[in-house]
Amino acid sequence: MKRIQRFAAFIALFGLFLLFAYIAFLISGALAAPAPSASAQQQTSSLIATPENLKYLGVAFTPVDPADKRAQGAIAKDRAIAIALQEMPRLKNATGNDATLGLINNPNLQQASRAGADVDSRLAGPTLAWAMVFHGIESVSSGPPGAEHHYAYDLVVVVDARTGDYLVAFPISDLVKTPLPTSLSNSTITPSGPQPNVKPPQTVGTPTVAPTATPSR
Amino acid sequence: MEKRLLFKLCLMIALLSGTLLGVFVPRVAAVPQWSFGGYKYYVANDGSAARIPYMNPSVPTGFSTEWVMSGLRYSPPYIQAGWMKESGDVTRHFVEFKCPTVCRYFYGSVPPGTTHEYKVAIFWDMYWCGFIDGICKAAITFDALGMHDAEMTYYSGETSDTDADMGGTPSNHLHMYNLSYQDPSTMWWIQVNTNSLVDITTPGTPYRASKGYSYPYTWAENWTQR
Repeated sequence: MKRIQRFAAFIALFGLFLLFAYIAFLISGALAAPAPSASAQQQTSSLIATPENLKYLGVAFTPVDPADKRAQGAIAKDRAIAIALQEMPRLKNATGNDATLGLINNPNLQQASRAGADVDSRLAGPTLAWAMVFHGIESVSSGPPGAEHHYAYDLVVVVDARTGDYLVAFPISDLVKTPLPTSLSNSTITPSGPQPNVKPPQTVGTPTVAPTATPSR
Repeated sequence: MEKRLLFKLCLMIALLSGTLLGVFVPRVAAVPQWSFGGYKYYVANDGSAARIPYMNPSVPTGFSTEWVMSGLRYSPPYIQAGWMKESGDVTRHFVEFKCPTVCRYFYGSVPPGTTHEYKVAIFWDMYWCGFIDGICKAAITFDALGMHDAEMTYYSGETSDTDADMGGTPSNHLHMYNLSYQDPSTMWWIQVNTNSLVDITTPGTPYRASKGYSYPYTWAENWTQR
């Protein structure tokens, strides 16, 4: 009988030991959870979808007053934010957001379109869109092996203001730290003509290499 | 009386040691580590392309992505296109390039089980374009990118930590096919010579990759072997 009692006491104590170990594990984990970095917090109050910020991404953005005639048919700001949240669930973790209605266009895409490329016409624009900056959303770059990885903590989401369709999203925070290069700030673009096709040299070894004759520039 | 004291003592020891164990036990957490499962090819090129399926890998933290890329051998300029799944979010097509830090654009969502053509290529001898299913989604001038002809082409998967799965499963690999590149004379070589592909799969990770040719495609594949 005593043996059973001792065994029961041992089991109870061991159970308590495990319980407290687990509770302490959870508490220490919660305390050690990384808080948003200082740089992230620092940037949350300053970044909005200004033309200056967006031109780093080759995007031109002209704010339009919602009362302006050009804004006719635009969905409401709250609706645009709701669409963004629905499209990108992690935006629910944002520490705040700013939304600006405007005409967005991408001069490089427009130029490529004129040169004959199949481009996304809504991204080429000009498209009436809500550009919303969601703060505190971490995003890290990809790149080849060995590449430097860039972190961003603000994500711009662009929604077509007439159709409510999601168009594109892009992180911006670490871009605004870098001075805009001259090549981006005052580039003049003049397409040149396509070059003649040249038959490529034969590649040795298998598998078969089959070049196509499609000019693409 | 002594038994009660002994029991209380044991109880306190259990609480104290349990707490200490819980606090100091090593925590197994996702470690940031950029890992790759795929191939590179040292070849002068003006474009890279492949058809890449999306098999909805598990991504509890960080991201998992599959892409094609053209870039320089030693310096940062590169442009890539593919899909990216970030933890807790919808998987999207993306294009990324150097601009002067990094410009990354997320486009429409990618339904599981679908396959898409991703391509980065020079257009009109002026731009690098990121194409998704034949449509140029992002364009950047040579000057802005800092690259005219690329020196490398890549076909790879990537994760930002090893908790995220890459590609397919051991029994169902992610099969990237129609590997191709455009040479500087604008000709598309619709099947790379897979003998020339160099493995860039990160050693010591659960990621695996293989390559080959089976009529009518050249292919590269990757998966997670846990």
